[in-house]
Amino acid sequence: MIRAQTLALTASLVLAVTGPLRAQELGTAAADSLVLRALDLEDSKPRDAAVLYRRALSGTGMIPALLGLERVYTNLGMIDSLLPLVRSAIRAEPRSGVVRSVQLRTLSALQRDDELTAAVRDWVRAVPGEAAPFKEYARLLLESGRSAAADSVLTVASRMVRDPRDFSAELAQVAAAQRMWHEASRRWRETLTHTPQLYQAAIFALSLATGVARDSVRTNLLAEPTWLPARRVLASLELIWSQPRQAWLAFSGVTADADAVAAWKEFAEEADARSMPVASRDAWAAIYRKTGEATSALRAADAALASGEAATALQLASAAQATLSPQLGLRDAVPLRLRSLAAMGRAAAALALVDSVRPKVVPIQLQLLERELMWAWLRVGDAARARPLVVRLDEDEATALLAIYDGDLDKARAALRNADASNTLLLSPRALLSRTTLPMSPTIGAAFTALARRDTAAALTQLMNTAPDVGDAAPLVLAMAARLLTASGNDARAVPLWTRIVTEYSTSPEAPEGDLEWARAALRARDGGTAIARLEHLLLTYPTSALAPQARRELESARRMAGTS
Amino acid sequence: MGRWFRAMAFLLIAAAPLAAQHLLVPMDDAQRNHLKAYGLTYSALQRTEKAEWLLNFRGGAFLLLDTPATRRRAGIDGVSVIPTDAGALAAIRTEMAGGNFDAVPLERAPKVAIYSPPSANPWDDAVTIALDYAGIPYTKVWDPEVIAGDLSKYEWLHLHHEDFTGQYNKFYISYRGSPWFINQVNRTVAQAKQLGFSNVPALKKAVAEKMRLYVENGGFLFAMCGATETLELAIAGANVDISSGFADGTPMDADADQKMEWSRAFAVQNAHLEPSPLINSMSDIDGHQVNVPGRRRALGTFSLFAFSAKLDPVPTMLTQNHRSVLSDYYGVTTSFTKSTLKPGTRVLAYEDGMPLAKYIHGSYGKGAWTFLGGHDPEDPQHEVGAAPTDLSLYPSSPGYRLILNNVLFPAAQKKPRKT
Repeated sequence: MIRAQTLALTASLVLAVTGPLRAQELGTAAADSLVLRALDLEDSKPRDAAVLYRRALSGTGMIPALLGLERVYTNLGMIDSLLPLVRSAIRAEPRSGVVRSVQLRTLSALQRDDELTAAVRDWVRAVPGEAAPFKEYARLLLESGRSAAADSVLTVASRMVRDPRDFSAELAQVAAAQRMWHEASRRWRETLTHTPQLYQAAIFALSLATGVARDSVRTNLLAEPTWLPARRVLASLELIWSQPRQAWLAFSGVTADADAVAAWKEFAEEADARSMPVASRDAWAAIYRKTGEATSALRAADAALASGEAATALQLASAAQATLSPQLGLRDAVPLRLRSLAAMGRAAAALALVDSVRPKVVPIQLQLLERELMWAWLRVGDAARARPLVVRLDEDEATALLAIYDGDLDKARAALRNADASNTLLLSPRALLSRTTLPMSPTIGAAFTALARRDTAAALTQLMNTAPDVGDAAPLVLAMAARLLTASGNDARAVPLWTRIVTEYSTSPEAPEGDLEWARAALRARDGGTAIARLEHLLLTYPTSALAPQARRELESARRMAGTS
Repeated sequence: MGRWFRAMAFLLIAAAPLAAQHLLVPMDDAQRNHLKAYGLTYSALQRTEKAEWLLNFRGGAFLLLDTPATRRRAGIDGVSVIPTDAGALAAIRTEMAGGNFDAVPLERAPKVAIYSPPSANPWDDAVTIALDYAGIPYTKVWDPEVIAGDLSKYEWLHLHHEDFTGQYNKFYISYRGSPWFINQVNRTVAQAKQLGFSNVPALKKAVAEKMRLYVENGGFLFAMCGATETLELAIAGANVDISSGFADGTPMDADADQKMEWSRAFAVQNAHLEPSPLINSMSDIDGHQVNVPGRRRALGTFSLFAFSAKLDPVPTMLTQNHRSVLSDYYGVTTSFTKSTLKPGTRVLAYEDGMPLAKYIHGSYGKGAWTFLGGHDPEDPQHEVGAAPTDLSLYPSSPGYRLILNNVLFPAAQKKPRKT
């Protein structure tokens, strides 16, 4: 037994001694093969992967093997085993930044601060005048939240290296980590002048600025002379900060050259990805003006439509069609023009457009155009013209809306069961139908038809007539009427309705809104006392209402107006 | 008779909890609006309702009487309150008896004065912002009122950004051409003459002396930002020219450092004045020197000390918070170099990893003072002209809580320190 153990020990020693010798003899192909096999085993058999990486630690395989060992040992909780291997690697390649970085990361992970600083010093001695050791050290300090220490390292290092600008990005990162946003944005601007490719890093770092600190960032990035990379960073920041209108303005004053157009395109794509059509519209429109590209005009039109500017969309889509081939124009521009006309309530013009292209399009295209035309008629409340199209195209949303116009509430309910819930035209009908069991109501149909036709006076009359008949939905109907009156500036008629909602239907979902709108009307009439009373009533009666935070803010304003605290 | 008496006694005891309902105002993370909770407590004291500050319990909770007025205000302000009956309160008191907790009775709403010029800009004062947001009333006082002796009408005096050396925070260096600065200088010079002083430094020294006497006679003084450092300099330098030529027409006394009478000061001793009129620093009291690029220290974090609630109730009150480590923020004076602090100065918060204190406190005569470095806890790099902080965006700001702790501290029934 003892003999067997001795043999095993001897054999393992021989293997251990000969292992490195064999590794040293590995050629490039063999080393690569070992690394590839180890990579495959990293997740499933990390210990086996470690054995292979160790065998590959020679010649050309050293760097990938060392990095592989760093990953494997970290996952196995054996990162300290890496240190002797790193020391050997440094003896072989004392100027290798990768090897030195592995050593620093390892010591940092083990929290051996004294050894870490000694390792940094050793690296600095090996590569005098170079910035890499300081940059890596500062990065590790920043990652561990020691931004003040990173700042000190970089400040000292700036005096020791050949080109202090090497640290500009790191200094900017440090300033951002310390929430010194004025300093951070100033330094990022400087950094971008010689390394514009770092703009994504700048965006990430500066995006964390909050509140008034953002104004400091804006000031620095907008400063003269106008510098495209800085403006590009600010434009993205404004998108991240949900300021789409400000975002495009960041490019103001930039010379419209090829670089600018490339930056605009990147920005426009980003705005689209973030669903910020206002910014996207401005960018694509500028690109179109500069390049004349029809595709840009179409993208701009699409964004304009999404941002609620149908007239602009129509103009851009028409301009695009003029430069496109007839076929492409029919395919890409005409549907946009049609949607724009529908959104503007110009159903007759939409019909004329469809008629003008009817002979030139294939049936499937015609069906798509007629669908837009159907919605154009429905949007303007023209049930008669919409009906044949609704019947032919058989869409649940359209069927439901038409049934509402007809006052056939049961039919509308049935159609809404399968309808797309995101259709904004159906929001009010859905809310009403969920709170009344009436099967038929011509008055409700007339009210919604009048609303669609933008006939405010008729809509008001019908809504007021409907209210007594709709049971639980009465406050909803009154609120619809009150909103119309408030929107038209008629507080004298709106306030009695809001009052009625608050007093007669105090447990309805519309009651908090009633209090808030009543208060706002009082503020407009410079009646701070009433406004305070209504807002306090809202906060005390409906403390969990989504309107409570807004009511608190408006209460502060009301108190300032009334001169109380 | 005996049976009847016992029955009545039982009824009275059973009915007592119904008449003694309380509202617990938690100040830990369960609280939705920490800053307005101070206003809620202050308003209860204004109505002469008794209140208690439960030190270290749930972030420094308040215990208020359950009255319609308190419930109403809590609802309007969005302050979280927990109705607490006698049983629940007994459980709280039992828990508090066994740990580092204490209940401090709050007896009256202190009368608050803020030393602020009539034309103060909105970016000038974090305390005004805090009190306005919390709904705590205050009176503004300025040089004429202080010189006339009006401070004795108030229990709490707050100073913020004022330069009591009369050098306008040395903004002369950077802002001498700015209209707001020119107006400020003109106004202050005219004020000094009107009050019978030959120059602004002389006026400000006289104001500082009134404030020193106010504390000595039992007042509570809370100062932030540049007011902390310059008040100390003005008091210790009462009999020496510590101002540069642009402020009083004569250069600083070359031996000013040696002539300072630090025994008169509240917190500091053996500090060194900055002799150059062109360096935007007053002395080496401030550890961060934000306006001197070569000396400026980076911002980090500062940590609140934990005190024994039962043995040291005053520092415990001043450090009640739902966070113990806070992000730092600059001011004309950001921090206090520990080597310049007097031995009796209590450090309430220290700058992590640096030999600096952020928040200090001490007694002086019959009164007490507290200094907090920095300008605006939610605007780390506060700049002249920046928009005032909107506290509705920071209703649970731990930094602003430190300011409001000082407002309620004078409301507490005084207890001598036991350590």
